Amino acid sequence: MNSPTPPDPNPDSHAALEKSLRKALETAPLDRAALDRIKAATTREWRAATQRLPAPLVRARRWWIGGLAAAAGIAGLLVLGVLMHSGIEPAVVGTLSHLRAGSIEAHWAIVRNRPLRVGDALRVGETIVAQGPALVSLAGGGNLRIAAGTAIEMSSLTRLTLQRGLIYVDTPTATAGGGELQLLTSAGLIEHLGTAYEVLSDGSTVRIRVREGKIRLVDAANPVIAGQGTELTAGSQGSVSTRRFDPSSADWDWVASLAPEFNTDGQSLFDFLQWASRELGRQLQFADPRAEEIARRTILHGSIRGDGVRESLSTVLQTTTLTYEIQAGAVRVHSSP
Amino acid sequence: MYEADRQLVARMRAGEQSAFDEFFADCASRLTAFAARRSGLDFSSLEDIVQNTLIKAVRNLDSYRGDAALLTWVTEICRHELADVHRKAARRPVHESLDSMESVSAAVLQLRLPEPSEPPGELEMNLRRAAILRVLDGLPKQYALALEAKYGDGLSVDDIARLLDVTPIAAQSLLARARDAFRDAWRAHTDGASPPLRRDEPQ
Repeated sequence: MNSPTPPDPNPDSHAALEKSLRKALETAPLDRAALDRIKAATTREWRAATQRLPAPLVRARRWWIGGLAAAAGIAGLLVLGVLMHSGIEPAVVGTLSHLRAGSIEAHWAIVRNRPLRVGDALRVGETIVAQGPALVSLAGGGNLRIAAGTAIEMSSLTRLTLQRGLIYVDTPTATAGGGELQLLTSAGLIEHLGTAYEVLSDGSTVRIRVREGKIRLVDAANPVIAGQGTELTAGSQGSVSTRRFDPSSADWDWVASLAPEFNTDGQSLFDFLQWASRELGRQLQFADPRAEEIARRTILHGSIRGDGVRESLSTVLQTTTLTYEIQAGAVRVHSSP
Repeated sequence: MYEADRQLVARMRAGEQSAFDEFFADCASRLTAFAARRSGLDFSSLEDIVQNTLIKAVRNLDSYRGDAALLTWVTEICRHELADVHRKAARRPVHESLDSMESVSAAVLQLRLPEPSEPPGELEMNLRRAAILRVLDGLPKQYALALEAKYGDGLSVDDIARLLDVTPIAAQSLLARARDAFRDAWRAHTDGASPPLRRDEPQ
């Protein structure tokens, strides 16, 4: 590379020291073409690493799952035909609340494709194809977080069909009707009652991680129940394996990055802390009774719109006398530093 | 800690193109400079090093925990890449005869110790540059990163603050401490066992 003369850093002179460092650290940049080549190669690897999901749609490996999906499809088309004829729009499954980047489209059989914008309704019969991470607020309560490269069909008001991709389903226990939501995958039907779980599917193998609550994977013969902290992988030959996972690892950052905004105005600090801890996959702990007392009687005002969960936590607690630390399995709140 | 970097990685892992573009824009040029400062590699080899580093980084995004700045994490990968290159070069046997390499022979014949009054030659310049980098690499990582960002990459204090996930005032203060630490380390280096570098050269 280049070789300028780095002068001897004179320890007694600030200017000389700065000059020495500048000279010693000076380099010539790579040219534009080289950077373009590096970017092209890195982009390929990044896409392969993060969008591990091949393009073909799901091929159900068990006849009953295929049958179920086909029946849903045919029913959808029939309903679609009737509705188009009558001018009635199908029921709303949810609303697009946030789209981070890229685009998201709703496909309605082969008849209609439409790009979705924030605020648009997702209706029964539509297949959502996301090119960027998105958050959907479900009409029955809770939310659906969708990673880029995902295709998911709104089969009915209570059933979604994951064709490929990565999603996170969050329906808190208190949500009315949330427990009815079912997710059909190539490995079977996932049922749950008030839970948060992630599903990754490449169309043949399905990985389910239960972050909270419990799910039931219903196959033709072997229903499998998986509880909080369990990862379940259903292979292409019908094999199912389980293992434990860390619900607060960096694997969940993508989920936190799509967390719905918490409306702080008028809420107690305690509720906010519970929300933030849950989104981070951690327990809320108070280091002393006074911290909990302050959290319960502090009412928040204003908005934290647009901030991430960790940033929100930092922003909100800076306005109080409480401090916090994020530990491996807990958000620990103190009444004094 | 390093929330902005964690968010960036989360967005990249979710497949967001703009996050990848941001990562590449932040890292590629500074990684090139980092590798160039620590090796005598030509542009072609530097391109390979930077590409391999970035590929390893994007393949292992799930191992970034946000304990350090993303750039620090990536430069650690680069450091290993450079070490690999040096290891491979050291293992490569040299069987060429010096007699057949006229340019090398000529250079060997010209080798001599410089007179003390002579301006520093290329060799000495490179030695001094290497010494400064050694001292820099011996500092705490935050200090080295801040000094390299400021004096090597030309970043503003605000940019350094963002890089280190601190306030601009804290970045300013960290830079001052880093300069002091470098000054002390350099003093120790020049006063210590290492071959002394000339102190009487005009600045």
